[in-house]
Amino acid sequence: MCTSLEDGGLSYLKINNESYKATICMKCKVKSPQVVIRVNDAFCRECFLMYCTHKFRSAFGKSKIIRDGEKVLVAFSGGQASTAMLHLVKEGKSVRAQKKLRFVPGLIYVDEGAVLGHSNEDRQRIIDRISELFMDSGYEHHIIKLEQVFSEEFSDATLLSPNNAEVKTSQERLQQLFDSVQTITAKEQFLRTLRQQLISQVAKSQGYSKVIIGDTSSRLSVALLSSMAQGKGAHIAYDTSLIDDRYDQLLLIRPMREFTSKEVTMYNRFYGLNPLVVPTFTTKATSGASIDKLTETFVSGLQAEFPSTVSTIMRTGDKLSNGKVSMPDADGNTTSPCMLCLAPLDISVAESSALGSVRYTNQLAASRKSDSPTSSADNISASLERSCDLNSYDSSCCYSCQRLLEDMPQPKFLPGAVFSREQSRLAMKSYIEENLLS
Amino acid sequence: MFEEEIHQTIISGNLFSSGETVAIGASGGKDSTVLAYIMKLLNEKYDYGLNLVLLSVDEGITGYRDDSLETVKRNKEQYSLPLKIVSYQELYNWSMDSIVRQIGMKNNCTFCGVFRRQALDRGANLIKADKICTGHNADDIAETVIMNILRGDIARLRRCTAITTCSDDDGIPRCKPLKYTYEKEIVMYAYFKNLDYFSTECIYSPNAYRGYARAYIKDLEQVRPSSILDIIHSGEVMCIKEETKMPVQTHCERCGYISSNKLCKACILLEGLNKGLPKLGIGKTPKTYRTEGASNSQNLVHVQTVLVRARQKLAPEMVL
Ligand SMILES: [Zn+2]
Ligand SMILES: [Zn+2]
Repeated sequence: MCTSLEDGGLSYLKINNESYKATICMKCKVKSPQVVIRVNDAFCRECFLMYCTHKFRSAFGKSKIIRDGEKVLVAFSGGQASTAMLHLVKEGKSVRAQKKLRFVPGLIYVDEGAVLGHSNEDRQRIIDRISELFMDSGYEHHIIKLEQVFSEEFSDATLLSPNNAEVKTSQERLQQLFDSVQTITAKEQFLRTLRQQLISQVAKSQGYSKVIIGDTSSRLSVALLSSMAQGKGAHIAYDTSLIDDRYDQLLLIRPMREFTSKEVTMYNRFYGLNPLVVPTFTTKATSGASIDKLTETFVSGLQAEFPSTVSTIMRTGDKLSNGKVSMPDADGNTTSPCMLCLAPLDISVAESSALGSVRYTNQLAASRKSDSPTSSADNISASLERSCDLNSYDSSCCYSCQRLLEDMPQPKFLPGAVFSREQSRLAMKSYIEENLLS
Repeated sequence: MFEEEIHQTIISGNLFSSGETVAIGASGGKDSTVLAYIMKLLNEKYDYGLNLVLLSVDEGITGYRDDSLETVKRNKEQYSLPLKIVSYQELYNWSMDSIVRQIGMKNNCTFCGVFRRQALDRGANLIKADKICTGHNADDIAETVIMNILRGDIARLRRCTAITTCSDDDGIPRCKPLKYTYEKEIVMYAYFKNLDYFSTECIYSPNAYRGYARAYIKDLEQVRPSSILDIIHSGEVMCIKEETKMPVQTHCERCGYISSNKLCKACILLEGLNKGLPKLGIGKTPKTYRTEGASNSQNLVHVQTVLVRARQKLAPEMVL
């Protein structure tokens, strides 16, 4: 969505790269080139825009995933990629389009200002701008506040006014919840999870069966590495492939997946589109602020030196499938998905595994706790705080979400409505009763 | 606790069976020194019944390997374990010093890495080892996972988190008892136990690209201390699409070592060295050496090296 990688795209983007001396567009061989997407690929404006349209359309064509007349929800963050995506949808629906897009688009914006520390004035300013944009489109649209995850009736997805008392209290609850999260890494992961839950709930309640999101290859290559680093190896395909089918009766599609952030920025510039700059958790932070931010710095640094970095990471991702790790238990029942991220659980692993070794370390640490201190060499592991208490959510959350919850010592304000699945709800209830209400 | 964790790794992973001869890859560095110390200790404490042998590879790097080998020789006395040394010079007729004299500082790590993989297997064969264990720690493995993603090497990505690897029936299985041990735990353990190890970096330039991955892992660990194990978990639970093509493993026509091409990487590199074409084998395997289109095989210049010998049982390409 709107990441600083995309927003910062302009700084390294140069039209007519000095080192490259193409004199005509490689496609039409007539006009002079105005954009160089890769070394030796120089396009004139028209051919570049055609190339973008083609790339966008082929994402749907290849998979034939969207039926004629189907309602498709466009997730719009205001950033570079979703601005381009919305424009591509509008162009595809316009009379100018050679082959019209046949689905029925609707728009959604999630206002996350409450947790990102934006002032009420700033939030309102952004919402006003988005509403105007949405109204202009003429499509059905939804502007949702993140705090609505607490709202009992948020499944109705009503456009709530900012003065609504219900929203105000839920805003405080949401802020308290995020304040209790100790690391930015966990805040980012939690925000992503809540946002996706909220979007999918709105989509379902409003009769959409598809959601399209504007993740570019630049964004997804960072997401892939970052997911790996957060223990989500079993869910790489959900997090980065064209189709994310973890939700019941709803597909998440990433039609911008073949675009680089540079291409998206060029597209917007050629059409004179002005994406919003919405500050995030790490906008002004150093690269070590979170795993996402660190990974973004790492990948963009490599990409600058080795221009095939992003495409190689994406190729690696293409060869991964979703882990078939949701093993049936002893009674033959398949386990329910992770109660937080809804991806299959990846915690039924052999004793000889990373998780097994963490469990063993915890076990050792627990049994040693009462003992008197032994030799210093013996306590290395304990002193290094290697052991992390992964036991609390043991059976209902995936490995990565367990890590997330470790950074959230008192999730007492977790919105029940988000975890709408019966079993998840029960698990959460019993967890809260056991651990938090003491 | 440190020792018990490694014991647990060995037991739960079924790494060894009683009566086996186990070659411990010993470089004189901290990881392999800790590995040798702890294998000796656990073997006695828990009665594994293993016959342990230190196995060192002498790359022929003056000012680095000669000094670290002195450390290994002291370890041999300290732990009273037998030691076997195999050298590049005797295996390939080239030492790293002479390779660098011929090709310069660029790419020499490629040679060294490829040659070391085979050398360890050949050494293990000579001492009739049933298993090889190496000192790769959790940081090394996490780094390799990231490297393989960045390189798009899906075959290695799949293998690199396995605790024991053996892609070939003939091969000597390799295992990594320190797989779940953080590098800093190893450093602290070596410090507290006052272990004698050699800590100088190789004098030839390290792999720059790997350096990026290493720095990333270290930064991740700063942000979230469990990141290294989290990456290994990711590697363990990730799934490769079934239709993904994996290289078919065959044997090198020249030396019999396992290879996905007609000639193994070591033989191609050697041929380049011997013919004065040091670029041969760097990067992609040249077409002539690939398995497809086998008609070119007669055109290959037959190079006389110690590698040319009767097909023998040799171990798989190392998977890290
Ligand atoms: Zn989860
Ligand atoms: Zn060979």
